[in-house]
Amino acid sequence: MKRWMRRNGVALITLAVLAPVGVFVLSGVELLDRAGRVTEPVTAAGPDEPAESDGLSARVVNSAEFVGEGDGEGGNGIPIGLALVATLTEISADRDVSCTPDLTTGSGEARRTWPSLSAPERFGYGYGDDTAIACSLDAGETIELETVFLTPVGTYPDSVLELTVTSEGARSVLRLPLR
Amino acid sequence: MSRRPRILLSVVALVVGVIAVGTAPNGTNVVDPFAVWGAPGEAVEGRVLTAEVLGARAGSELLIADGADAPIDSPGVWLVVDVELTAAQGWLSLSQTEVQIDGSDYRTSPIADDTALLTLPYGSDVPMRGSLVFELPEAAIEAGTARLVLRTTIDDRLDSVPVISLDLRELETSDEVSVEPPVVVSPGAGS
Repeated sequence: MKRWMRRNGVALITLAVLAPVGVFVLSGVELLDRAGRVTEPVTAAGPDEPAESDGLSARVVNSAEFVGEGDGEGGNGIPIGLALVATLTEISADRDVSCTPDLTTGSGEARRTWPSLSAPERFGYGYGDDTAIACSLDAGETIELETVFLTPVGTYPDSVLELTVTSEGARSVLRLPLR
Repeated sequence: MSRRPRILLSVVALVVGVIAVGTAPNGTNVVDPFAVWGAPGEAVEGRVLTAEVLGARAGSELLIADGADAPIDSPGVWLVVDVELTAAQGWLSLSQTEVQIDGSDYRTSPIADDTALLTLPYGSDVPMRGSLVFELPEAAIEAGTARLVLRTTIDDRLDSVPVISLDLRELETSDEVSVEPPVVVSPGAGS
């Protein structure tokens, strides 16, 4: 056996190294490629601070959670176990920009996102009179953007508002804590 | 090591090598998605989507709620699969979902695009109930079994995909099958 090992040991070790390398080349490269697809630069703001990027400054000035009580008598139209999270964000731009708001928690594989609702009245929510419901600004304009998200109950305390800003073809992300 | 065991060892190694080469995934399917199998009534959990089939119906006429007033005829059969779907991470599209029967793949029918449950627009952990609609040749229904493959993207290489077996012999059949708009339901409401 020892003689056999002396003669074939190098070949066995080579196989032991090449087999995992082969598996990585076949599968791991795909996974790494997929993991590297998020490319937008992210600017995170501290509590009560505005975040600034690409000619846009934004700060969450108010937010609230409305917990679902169901559709039945005395309910509020939001399914039990879910909640509406509403945010009011002051946004100023020094050039023409647009943005897409998302509520998010976590990062990496634990990242969860909720797009803003296009028709929150379906869940009994009414927009304020003087707020903007679309994030599209001309140069020099300031708006208060009102956004509403449908989330599981309990999401609100851990969530942040992300604005994906598009300006002159470039995209960046502003990450804003709620207040 | 004597000569006979060495020959035997070489033969065994050759046989193992042939089996390994014969059964190894090829260049295409080495990155195929991983199917997570389940049956109707079970919550089948993929990486980005949890799916449960609540029931399946078939008929020759399709009535779309909030759509055309008259039922839509098919030269074949409408297969309507009622499902509860929950996205794990965020917004999802189900437009790549297909039913596989006897080696053929059938995509969801575009005729019910506005009413069928083809997107989960609310984001993570917000369950929705609705229907997936497929138009199939009559012979496909007679095949006996089908697989509902809930694909959420055209590029699902190395991802996990819920695949739910359907027994086509147990379908509720009637002349007319209807499709209602999808609704949000409470998490954990169950079937």
